[in-house]
Amino acid sequence: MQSFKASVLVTVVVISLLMLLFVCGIFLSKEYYGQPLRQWLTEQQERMWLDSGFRLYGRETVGCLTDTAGYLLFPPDERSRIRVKVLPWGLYEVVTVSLGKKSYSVRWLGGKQAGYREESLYVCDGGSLFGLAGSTNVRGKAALPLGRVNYVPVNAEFFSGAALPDSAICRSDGNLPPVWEAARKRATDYCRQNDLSFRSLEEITGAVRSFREETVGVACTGRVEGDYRGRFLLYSSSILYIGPACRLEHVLVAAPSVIIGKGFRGSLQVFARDTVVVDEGAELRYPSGIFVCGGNPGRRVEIRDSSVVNGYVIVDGGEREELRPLLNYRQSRTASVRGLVYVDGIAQLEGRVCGSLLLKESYYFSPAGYYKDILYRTEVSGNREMVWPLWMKGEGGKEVIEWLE
Amino acid sequence: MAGIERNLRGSTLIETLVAAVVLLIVFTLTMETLAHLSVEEGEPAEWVEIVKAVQACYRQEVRGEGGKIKEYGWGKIEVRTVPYGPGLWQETLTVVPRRGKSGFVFVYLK
Repeated sequence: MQSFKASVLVTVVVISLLMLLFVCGIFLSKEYYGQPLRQWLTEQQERMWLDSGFRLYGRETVGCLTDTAGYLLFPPDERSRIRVKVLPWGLYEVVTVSLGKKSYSVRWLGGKQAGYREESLYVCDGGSLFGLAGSTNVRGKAALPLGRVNYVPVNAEFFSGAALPDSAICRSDGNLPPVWEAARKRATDYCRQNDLSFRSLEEITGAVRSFREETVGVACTGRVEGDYRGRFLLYSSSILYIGPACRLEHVLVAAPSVIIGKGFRGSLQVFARDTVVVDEGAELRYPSGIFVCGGNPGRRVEIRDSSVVNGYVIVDGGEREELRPLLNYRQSRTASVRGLVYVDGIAQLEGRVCGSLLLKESYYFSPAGYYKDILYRTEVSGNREMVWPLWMKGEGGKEVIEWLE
Repeated sequence: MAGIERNLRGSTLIETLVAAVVLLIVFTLTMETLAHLSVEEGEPAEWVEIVKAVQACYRQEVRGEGGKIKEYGWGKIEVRTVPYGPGLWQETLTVVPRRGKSGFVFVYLK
């Protein structure tokens, strides 16, 4: 005979244990699914502190921001201690703000204002009246010789643009507005390849390099081969050709003369001593730039048909030695520059400039002869949203252009 | 079945009472815990709304010193703005969800 004992207590204890296990499971799953939220809260606060670091640096109100000890944003919260590293990169800056050991952000910064003046067109006062011709349009303020403008015909073509209101014109000085001498020295050093301290790699054809690493120089002969992105300085002791097959992003290029080939697309800052040619249909993406240093009377930048430069074109100055006018900057009719055009020399400009145009002298060469102190078939419009290269002296502070890392 | 004799013995009254009390306690605890958990943590969809609201407040332009309260379906965000330095403001966002008690604070510069 078999005997069964119906154990209610044991059964209940087992069921209770199962229920407790279920509750524990719920707790664990809540913990697991709550993790992303807590992580988001921490990351969000860290990101806000990093952004705050860039804002503070951009205002330039705190001198000790780049100290090695860092800067406490919100005392006494030690977690908000930021460290700021600044790398002058061409005529821009690459700034790294870090928080603790893991969180950091690398961003590309430029100037908030083109300079202390806000005119979209500035032509140095050489004592003679300045003329607008053809379909020239100037939007925004203009600083012109004698504080007046003349509308003149060129090759029997009368002025057909919009007349500048008197209130938009003021008198310019005999010289271009002042520039940061430190920026000029740095850019000239790139052009002349002085004091470039970097590790040089002879045999690489393309790579990606973080801005948190050291600068790498790449010696090029004749033409740039491969794709380069990041902290690279491509240099050459002879004329350098950059073709459409190579991809360049954020790099610096230093050579006596540089030709940017037809159809090239990329972002780079070019520093040359003699000549820079941007060939037809090439596009230099923002933030890019072209700088030709002073001292060479034959220095020249040429922006050809349908090409676009986003950033800056600077032809630095020097005493004019030639009696006959020699062009230092030529922009063709269908080319455009968005950003700063600064020519301390003679320019023949057509096409579009969206940003700020500063010229020492402006000419137009036609088959019949040349016209002096004139702007012909040019569209100039100001751009308040632009972030500028750190070239012109000004107090506007700095602003982030691009997030790199 | 023919030929098989079984003797079934039931639980005692005390066993049954103890079992009932244990079950009651554990069941009550379980229900209480589950209800408490769901109230404290809120719904995931609610957290998405909170995240969106915080990001919107962060992107908004500063309009000078002061404080304001923004009400939402899930609770409120208190925004307090004080000067930090020339041209800079310190903003403090205090997020207070209606359900539960765990709010959180963000501090940053604008």
